[in-house]
Parts: sequence; C-alpha cells; structure tokens
Amino acid sequence: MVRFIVTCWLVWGTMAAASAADELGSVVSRVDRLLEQHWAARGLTPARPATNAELARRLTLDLLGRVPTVRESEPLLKESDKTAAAAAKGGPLDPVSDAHAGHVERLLRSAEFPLYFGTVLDEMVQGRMAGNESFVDYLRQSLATGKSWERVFREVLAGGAEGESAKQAALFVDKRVKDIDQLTVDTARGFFGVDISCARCHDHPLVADWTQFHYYGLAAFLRAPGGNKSKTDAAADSDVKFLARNGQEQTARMMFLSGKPFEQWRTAVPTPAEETARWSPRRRLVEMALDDRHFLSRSLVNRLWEQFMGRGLVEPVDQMHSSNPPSVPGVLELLAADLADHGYDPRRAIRVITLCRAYRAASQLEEPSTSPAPVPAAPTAPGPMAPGPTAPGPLAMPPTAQAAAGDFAAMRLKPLSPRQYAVSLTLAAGDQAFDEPSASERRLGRILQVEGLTQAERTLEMETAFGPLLPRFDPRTADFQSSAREALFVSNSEAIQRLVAAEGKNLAARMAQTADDAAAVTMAFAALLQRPPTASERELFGKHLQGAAESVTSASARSERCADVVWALATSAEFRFNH
Amino acid sequence: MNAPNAGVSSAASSSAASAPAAFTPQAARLVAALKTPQALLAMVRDANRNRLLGAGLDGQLYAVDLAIWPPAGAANGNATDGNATDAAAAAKEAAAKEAAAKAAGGKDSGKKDAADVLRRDAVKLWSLHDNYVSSLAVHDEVLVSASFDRTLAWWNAATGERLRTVPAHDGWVRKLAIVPGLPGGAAETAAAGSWRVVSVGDDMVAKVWDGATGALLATLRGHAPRSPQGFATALYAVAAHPSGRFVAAADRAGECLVWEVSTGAVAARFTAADFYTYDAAKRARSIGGIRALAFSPDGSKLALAGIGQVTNVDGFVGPARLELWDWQAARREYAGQAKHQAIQNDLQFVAASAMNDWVVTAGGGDGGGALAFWKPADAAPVHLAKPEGHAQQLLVDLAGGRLFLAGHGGFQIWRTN
Amino acid sequence: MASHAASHAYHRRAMLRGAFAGVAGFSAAGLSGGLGSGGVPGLGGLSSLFRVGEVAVGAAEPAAGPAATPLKLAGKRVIFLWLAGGSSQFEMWDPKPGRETGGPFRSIATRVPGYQIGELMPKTAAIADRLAVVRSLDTGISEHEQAADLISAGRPKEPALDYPEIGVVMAKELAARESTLPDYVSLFTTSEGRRRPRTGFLGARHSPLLLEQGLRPEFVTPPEGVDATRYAAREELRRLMSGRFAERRAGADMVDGYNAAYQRVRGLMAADHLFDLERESADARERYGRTPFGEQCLLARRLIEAGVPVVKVARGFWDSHHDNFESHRELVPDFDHVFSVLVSDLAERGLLDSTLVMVLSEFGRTPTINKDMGRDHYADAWSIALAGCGVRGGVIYGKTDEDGRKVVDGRATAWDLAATLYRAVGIDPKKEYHWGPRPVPLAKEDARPIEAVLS
Repeated sequence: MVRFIVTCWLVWGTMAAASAADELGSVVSRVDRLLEQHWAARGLTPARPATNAELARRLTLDLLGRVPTVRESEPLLKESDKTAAAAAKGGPLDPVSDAHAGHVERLLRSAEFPLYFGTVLDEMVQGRMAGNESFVDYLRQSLATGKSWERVFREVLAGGAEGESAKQAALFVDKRVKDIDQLTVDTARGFFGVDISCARCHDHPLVADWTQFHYYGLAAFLRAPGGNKSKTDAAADSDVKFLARNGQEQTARMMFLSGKPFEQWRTAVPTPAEETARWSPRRRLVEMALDDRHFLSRSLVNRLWEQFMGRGLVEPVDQMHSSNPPSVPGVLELLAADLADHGYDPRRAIRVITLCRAYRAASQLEEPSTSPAPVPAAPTAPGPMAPGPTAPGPLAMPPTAQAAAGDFAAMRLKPLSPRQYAVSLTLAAGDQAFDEPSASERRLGRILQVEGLTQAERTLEMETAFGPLLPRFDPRTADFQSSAREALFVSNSEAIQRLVAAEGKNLAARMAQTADDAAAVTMAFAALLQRPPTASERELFGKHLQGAAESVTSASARSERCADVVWALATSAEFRFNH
Repeated sequence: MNAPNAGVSSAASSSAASAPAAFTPQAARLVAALKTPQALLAMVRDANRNRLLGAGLDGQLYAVDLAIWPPAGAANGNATDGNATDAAAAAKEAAAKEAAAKAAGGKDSGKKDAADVLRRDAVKLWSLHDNYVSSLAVHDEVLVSASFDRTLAWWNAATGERLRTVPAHDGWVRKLAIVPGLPGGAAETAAAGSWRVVSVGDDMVAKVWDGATGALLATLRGHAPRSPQGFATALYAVAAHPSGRFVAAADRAGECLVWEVSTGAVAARFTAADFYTYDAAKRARSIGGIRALAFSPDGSKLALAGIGQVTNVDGFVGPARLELWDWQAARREYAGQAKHQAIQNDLQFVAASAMNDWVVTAGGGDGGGALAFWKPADAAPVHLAKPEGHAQQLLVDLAGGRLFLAGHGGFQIWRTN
Repeated sequence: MASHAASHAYHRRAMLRGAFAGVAGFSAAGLSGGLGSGGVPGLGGLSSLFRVGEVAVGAAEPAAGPAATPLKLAGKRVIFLWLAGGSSQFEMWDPKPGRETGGPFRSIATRVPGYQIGELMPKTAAIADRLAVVRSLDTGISEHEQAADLISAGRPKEPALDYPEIGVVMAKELAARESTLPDYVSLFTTSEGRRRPRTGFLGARHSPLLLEQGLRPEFVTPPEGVDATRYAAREELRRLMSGRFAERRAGADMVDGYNAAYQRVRGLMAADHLFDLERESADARERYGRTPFGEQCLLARRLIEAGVPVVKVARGFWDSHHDNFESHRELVPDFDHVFSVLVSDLAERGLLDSTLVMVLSEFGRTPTINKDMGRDHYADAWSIALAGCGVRGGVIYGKTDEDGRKVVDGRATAWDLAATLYRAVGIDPKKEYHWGPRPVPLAKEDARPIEAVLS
C-alpha cells in the first residue's frame, strides 16, 4: 500500500506538480489574505516568520509526533543564522520558502506520518474513548493508503471497508452501540463538530440551533435494532420517541443536523439489494451528511486547524453553531470548501494550513521597543456599530500582544501531547539508533521509495516502552493545565531518572565522553532543543558541568552532571511545548 | 412462536392438557395487566378465595380475581369475588381478548404492547402498613405481611381484621416465608393448628415465629452486620426447606447461611461473591446482593438469584444471574447469566417434567423487565420474556399454565401454554 | 538570582500581584512599574503581562500600598464536599415521609426546632444548629456534565468564556502569599466519573493539586542517587531555561502554569507529612472511620489546619437511577457520620468559625420513584447544606411543596448560591476579574446572595 501512494505521488508529481502547486499556492494566498485583512482590521502586526529551524521542529512535532533528530536538524542549524536574519524582515505575506514547502511534502510522505497522525485522528473522533489499538491502526492504514475523510466517515458509520479493516472501522459504533445517547453525542462531536448533548433532555438552553428534534433525529439514524440503552424507546421502526420537558411524548423522525428530515431523501437514495437492515439507517445519515458537505468538512478543517495552531477557528471545536462564529471571518468556509472540492483529503487541508503565514509565524511576540507603531483599527463603517474597545491609547501594549489567541497573529504555544512528550523525551535523551537504518533497511527504503521506514518501526517498538508514561503527563486539552503531579513524576520518578542518566550511547553518556564542556552543552542543546546554546546559556551550563572540577572530578560525577543537564533541558518549557 | 397446542382454542378446550404442556416458556405471553397506583413488592396467592393478593409502596392490599383467567384447559369459571355480574363481564372480556390474540396468531408472543392485553385496575382491599410492604404470606385463612415499618402483621384474610402486630426487626423487614411442618424441635410439643413463619430484616438476623400466636421461636444469627467495606448491608432473601427443618437467608454481600431451625445451629455457610459488586478503585459503592432464594423441591439444592458483576453502579447494569448450590457441601453446582441486564428479585423452581426442573426468575433493570426461564444445564436462560416494567415477585401456576408477576405497574397475568 | 531560590516562589507571586495591581487597565505606568520592580529576570513576570488571548488576568485589586490579603479574608478556609452524581434531597435534607414521593425512610427531629431531617442522618440532626440548609434550589439543568459545570462555576456556561470553579476562585482569593502549601487540594480517588476542578480563564497556574491515586501525592521523594544539592542545582537550571523561554510567547500563561507546577514541587515534598494520616492519633482515625470518605475528610481537616485554604473532597456514585433506597442506605450513613465528625472536630479545634464547609452536588433526585426503584436527575427543587465560616447556624432556608416537586418559598439559582458562598468567606461577589478588556464579576451580575443563611 505504501508503494501505491508512492507511485501515485510520483506520477502526480511529475505530471501535475507545477499546476497543482500553483493551485495550492493560490488557496494558501487566499487564506493569507483573509488573515491579513483580519489583522489589519484589528490593528495587529503579526509576529515575524519563524526561522526554518524553528519551523522544522514545529512541523516534525505536528506531523510525526516527535522532535527532529540531530541528523535531521543539523543541516538547518547551520543555516539558521542566515534565515533568521532574512525572516526577521518578512512581512505579513512573505512567501513560503522552498525549504519549508519541501519539508511539508517530505514529512507527509514519510512512513512515520500515518503512524503518528492516526493517533491524532483517533483523539479527534473518539474523544474520551480514544486509544483502541485496532481503531487507531484502521485510521493509520487509511492515512497510509490515502483514503479520503469521506470514506473513513462512511466506513466508520455505515461499513463497507474491505477485509480486516471493516471490523476495525466498526469499532467506533460497536463500542457505543449499547448506549445510543453516547453514540449520538460522540458522532455529532467527532464528525460534525457539534455538542448536542444538552438537547437530549430539553431544547438546548443556550444554542437556538439545537432542539430535541435534532438530537433524537440524529439518534434515529444511529439506533441499531434492539439492545440500546437509552431513554429513547427503540420499539418503533426508525422513529424515536422521547419525553419532552413538558412531559409530552414526542416522535422524532430521522433528521440531519441541518434540519432536513430524511423523507425528502427517501427517493433520492437508492437502496442496494445487499444493504442490510443493520447498516441502512446509518448509510442514509452518511449520504445526507455528504450531500450537506457543510458539517463534515467544517468540523475536520476546524479540528485540523486547532491541531496545528493550538486553537480552532471556532473554539471550542465541538461548539460549531450559529452563535459561535469563527474568530477570523472566511477562513473556515474557504478551507472547508477546498477540502470538499479535493475529495476530503486530509493531507490537502494539512498542506494549506502548514503553508499559510499564520502557521509560519514565530511564537514569540514583537518586542515592545522594536514593534512597529500600532495601526489603528480602521473600520470601513465607523460609528456606533464599531465593536470592541476604542483605539489603543498612546501607551498601549504592542500590537501582537493585544491579539487574542483567535487572531492567529503569532503561533500559540502548543503543549506536547503525552505521546509527543514521551516519544520526544525517549528519542532526544536516547542513543542515535532511531534514524540509523541498517544496510538492509536502507536498501528496502530505496526499493520502496519510502522514507522513514526505520523510524516508523522503531516508534512502533517504543510504544510499549512509553505506554506506562502516558497517563503521568498532563493531557493536551483545550485548557491545558500543568499539574504538580506531572512535575513530581518528572522530578522524582525512577522512570524519568533512568531515561536521562548516562547509559550506553545515550545523550548523557555521549556528553560525558566529550571532554570539552562547551561541546557537550552544544550537543545537548542540539539533541533536545534543535538549536545552539546562546552565549549565556553556554556559560551557565558549562559552569554546571565544571562544577566538580573544583573538587575531585570523577567520571561518575561528570556523568551525573551531564544527566542533570539533559533533565533540565528536557523539563524546560522550551522542550515541553511546541513553539 | 406458538406453542404446539396452539391449535386448541381456549374456549373450546374442555379437556385439560397435561401439566408439562401447560408450561411452554417460549409461549409465555402477557394477557392482562392489573394496575395499582404504586409499585408492588409482594404477592401471594390466596387459594381459599382464588385470588392474588399484592402490596407494596403505598402499604395497601390489592387483589385480583383469578377466576377471570381460569387455568389452561378449564372452562371460564365463576368469579368469586365482589360483584358477580361485574366479574362475569370481566371474564367474558378476558376470554374474548385471549381468543382475539390467538386468532391474530403468529405474532411475537412476548410482545409487550399488544392491544390484546386486558387492562384494568386491581381491587383495593385494606391498608396494611404505613410504610412499604415488602412481603406477604398466606396460611389458610391468615395473611401475614412484612413491612419496612419493622413489624409483621397478622390479618384475617377474609375480613381484613387485624389479628396482631409484632415488632419484628430492628430495621426494615425484607422478606418472610411460611416454614412447612409444625413448630418445635424435640423438646417442644407440637400444638395442633400451629404453623411457623420466618422473617429477615436489616438487623441481619432471621427470626422464626409461631404463626398461630405470633410468639418468637428462634433468632438465627451469623450474617455480618456491615458490608465487607464497612457500610450498611441488608438481608434480602429467606427460604424454608421443604422438610421444615432448615431455613436459609442471604445478604447483600453474597453470604448465604442455612440454620437448623430447632437448634439455631448453622448448618451451612457459603458466599456467592459474584452477586456483589464493589470496585474500590473505580467506584467505591456497592450494588447487588442475593435477592431471591429457594430450595429445590427435593431439598438438596439452594437456588440464588440476583445480578452478576455490575459495570455501572448507577443502575442494574449487569447480567441477570442464577446459581444453584449443593448447600450441604457448600459447593456451587451451577452458575448462569443472561445477556439481559437486570437484577432478579424472585425465583421459583418448576418441576415441569420428571426429567428436568426449570427455574423461573423475574426482575428488571437496565435492559428493562425480565422474566427468565432457566434449565440449569445451559449457561444462559433458555427463554427470556419481557414483562412490563420491573418485576418484584413471581408465582408460577404450573398445571394451570399461568404465571403471575407483581412489580412496577401492579399485577401481570401471563399464559405459558 | 540563585540566592533567592529558597523563597522565590512566593516572591514571584507577590511580584505578579504587585504588577497586576499596578497595571490594572494596562497603563504605561503600571507596565514600567512592573518591569522596574520586577528586577528578577527570567521569572516569567513580564511574560504574564504579554499574553495573547487571555490578556493578563489580574484581579482589579486596589493599586495602592503593598498587595496584601485583605484582612477579612485572612485565615479563611473552605472544605468543599462534592456529592458527585446527585444526592437525593428526599433521603437527606428535605424528607417527605408518608408521601408517594417520599420513599420508605422516615424523618427525625433535629436540634433545630421544627426541622425534620432524613432518618439516615441522626448524627447530622444532632449538629443541625450549626448548619444552614437551603431546600429551595431551582437550577434547571439536569444533565451531569452541564449541571456540574453550572453548580461548580456558579453560572451558566458561555461558549466564549470558560469560567473557573468556585473552589479555584476561593483558593485564589484566600491563598496566603507567604504559604509554601498548595492553594487548593482536590481529592477524587475513584477513577470513574472523575472531574477535575476547572481553572477556566484564570489559567493553568491555578490548578489544584490533584490527589487521584490515593491520599498521598506520589513521587514526593527524590529519585535514588540524587541528593539535595544535586537536586537543587538541576532544578535551578530548569527554572532558568524555562523562565527565559516564557518571555513574550504567545500562550505564555501555559508556560506560567507549567513553571508554577515545578515551583510547587519543593513545597509539596516538604509538606509530605501533612498527607500522612499515620500522624493522626488512633482516636482521630477511629472517629472519622476507615472508609475512604472518612479518611479523605480527616485529611481535609489536617490540610486546612496546616493552612491549605481550599480542600475539595468528591464522594461519588450518588447517581441512583436504580435501587435508590439501597444506595442511600449505604451512602448516607457514611456521609452522616463523617460530615458530623468533621464539623464537630473543626469546632473543637476552633477552626469552624474560619472554615466554610459546603456540601454541594450537581442536582437532586426526582420526586417520582421510577420502575427500578430509582430516582432520576432533578434540578427543579433540591437542597444543599453549609456550615462554619460566615454561615448562620440553624437556618433552614426555603421550602418545597408537600411532595417535593416544586419550590414554594425562597427559590434560589446556581448563581445565588455561588454569591452566597463567596460572601460567607468574605469575598465580594461583585469583585471583578478581567478577561482581556472585559470585566468579569466573580458571581453573575444578577446573583442575589441568600442573606438569611449568612451570619
């Protein structure tokens, strides 16, 4: 299957590369323009573009779920000074560098991408029930074979996947089928970006969009014959009876979230002879959702945006309704239409997002002293309708700092997910075998024309090792909270101590064998932070390594100090966050 | 789904079918629902007046005239209770409903909302207690009731006259049963006309009473006063051995004790732990318990019913469960579970044929009401019917092809032929 | 900088407060004042003012004078008992014996003349003169998550603004700056149904210390082979690196919370003995009992006594859709015992006057007894109880009809309740936080504290 995409890629690459790239470029530019207009209207100056080295770390974490290895980041480190200088001059609409665009493509083609991104999609779709290995593997396989999101959606809800993967895809429904309410709420959240759980017991108190008929209308599609645990009465054909708050019994017919009842579609949907009763109502739901396009595409695009930008265009990502508009006008609709027009290919949306200016912005805000003068908000129709606070006072905060997270004027820090943190920590503090393929692995990669086979295999092996660590780390939630629990674990557990302590050819051991303190510090920074230390950092950490020179230096004391440097860098916010 | 003898119309069947043919679980169907204002917890058959008596949350006694639903094979009899004309009319209506149901044929016999079900209100008789009535028993002309008001009360079943009230337990009285045979061990002279009652309560003891005088004959101890986690527990179920020599009681934590009545000595003790769910790491609250007990007709086995391990302690989200124990050896001989998620509150042995005993259990829970027919060779019930609502008590009339339930909504009359 | 290591955590907090106080409204004077008085590079003080999104979240405290905990808040404590899943008012605070809705339990007299309480609560009946009971909550939402959010935040959810839990706000307001202890310890040691207190727009640095695996925080002793000197040295490196990184980052509030978590490590390791119930007398341990809830409440008293301002103990599994009476037979006596011991113990130790004990739940349970002898969710008429700091003992507020279906007197909302709780510990419910430019009063604008239950 890997071969298949690679072939496609090559064909597509040679025949259509130029025009496709242009076409992609024009979508990216339209997104950039919308954001630029938004920034201008809000009087914001976006953060400078990130350097290639910064982008490489960000992108590797976002697409492969780990920090870059020393081998991967070394070339970028050498050019970082140059690009930093160039980047600092960049304007809001500076062009995408070839290096970044090439990097995006390389990572999307890597064998590691489906392996990692399958877990991301799993969390998007499964929510609290994420982590079922078979379902994750189904999503991974879907990404590896270039399955469209439309097809994943269809296979998960209505079946039709081939062979073994049919069972895997069905797990989403199977795990919830006994509880129709859970299935209804999770389907709405996972695929349509709406939380209608309020509407189970009464019309949604705050959102006019959602009535009990929406809830039970959706439930009517999802209800399997018999065996459901629900307040709904599953006796009738496909209608669902429920008690409204006034105590009156109501009957909900199958109705999509858009408010369209199924009746209008009954004739439009051919019922294949082989269609089993079990799948039939869900298949109707799939047809209606795909015809609607709106809910499915907007939800995926918004969740991907959230994944890459740290915040959705609509936030929270499961609250997409009329009274909660996107924070930047136009972008969501543009991306959603583009996704639907391009066969619901998640890679398509990822390309657009990772190439746009907002993704390429630095996470560091402008210095107060060096920032350009604030551009006053210039609403086209000033007057009593002008929203928000009045123009900033003479001593206002610099423009970027005034921006809200939803303005995307700077890259918001993203806490590493437990998985990203565990893999990155294991990798950066470990030996360098991860991307050191054996001769046969190298050969196989060349034959199959696939990059990252070795890394993917090692990551899969690592999964069992880091599994127990995952619940110890704070989850990457919308309102990320650092707990003292994680800090205590990372500070005091033997598990973390074993990772950082010098052993074999791991980072602390390699540092300890490096006689030159500055070189050892540089080595640690390169492995963990993908950048050289600043002068003051070199001095600070150098001093720490020297510490024992005053007393009797033993090899083990130096090893310990090296381990402590690894620990300090690995627990610094710079490592803990994607920036 | 029709029973083999479905071709015989009820009106025409004057020749009685053989007893086993009157008990075909797969044919079990609801024919009448007799409503009470609040749920019933207790039910007993008053043979002298051919009626069912029931009581529950509102403390009132309710009755159903069984003449309206005569045994299978019998002609519609004469109603014996209340206004004869009214009862005759009811019997006529009931027969018509059943005939219509037969005529419709082919329908799922267990289907609960069939229009053919006769629906009436049960007849209210008199007030028993001012708290929940948990159990009833009838001995000849005497009705005994047990209540959460901690007392037992004796009544003239014909007139409703209160014969006596006895403070019985320091806590809710959960269940009572008639102990067959005469009171007294070797040391005691049996008085003619005497009979015995055993009750269990939340003071975690079983007490044996002289049915004729209300005198306490024995207090049987041995159940733990607290749950294994140190919380309140309950003694839910009691049963008397067919010989009258032994009584058994079982609690929330799954512990079952059998005593010799005459000496008060513990004759057997075992724990059926699967009936009790407590997961300290996940939930820290218990649910379950052995809710029903019965000795087999030959006295060798003790059947226990309740719910298996519960996945969500907020409700009866666990499998309906039945166990059979060789109680003298304290050895479990059978454990069966239904996929249906419900607790079983009552059980009855049914000697449907010489070869095979059936056990019928009834209850309710997350999966709705449950009426389960078990052959204790199969791991799961052979047949599961769905009563209306949650059933608390069960009576099988084997020869008559009838089955009675009491619980949420009131009484239910089922046919099993 | 290394020289302040020992005390810098409190320093930083003080500095931040000072800075916030100065920059209320983000005036330039405040900004420069913050920078000037900060003088400690790399501590994240600056970054806190430059965050994207939740622009500096700072209480609009009086700018004049050194920031200090207002006198009326000094030494105030809160024990927050959360009966997760929805406890039944019928079986506890508002019995209706003999009614169709009343269930099988009877009621008993209490020390408050005329007030009858559920028979499962004889020990609480004996201390009823110390309690205020509100029997007239009408909070509308009867779905767990949304109702729990409503009651614990004290206001309806807004998609755009995530409100903090009442306990988090109280911890923020009541925390003494010089304390080395956590501001808020939250216990929920069973794994199912666990909800963590939301810090909402106040941000991650107000996260409580969560005790979820047991009664003691895990990993409170250094790994083998790492002595105190080495431990301090590597933490100092971490702190410097992390602090520098926070400067001017978009989302620096998360870094602040992250660094604050590490700053708490040392204090928590030093406070380990507070979590050690073996240090309590055998009498005290027996008195509270060996049930999980008993031990958790004893721990809560220990922590409160040591100066932790807010401790929450969540006791779950009240959601009795089936078998309501059996579950309340198990749960209520345990609650009755532990709650009455806790209140009495606080009183004996002279802590009750300064400690608010609040018993909340997401909703009550239905008057109708369902087919499975259960009670379902009911938010239209239910009860909560308070004791201690700021509470007028012996007040039974509000009334429901004879079947407990409707509030007939003293209807109170979730926000009325929140305002009452804030007032009880001396926090002004009208006090405003700022979320970006938007002033956000602690309690909803139209909240009316229930004056009758306040002393």
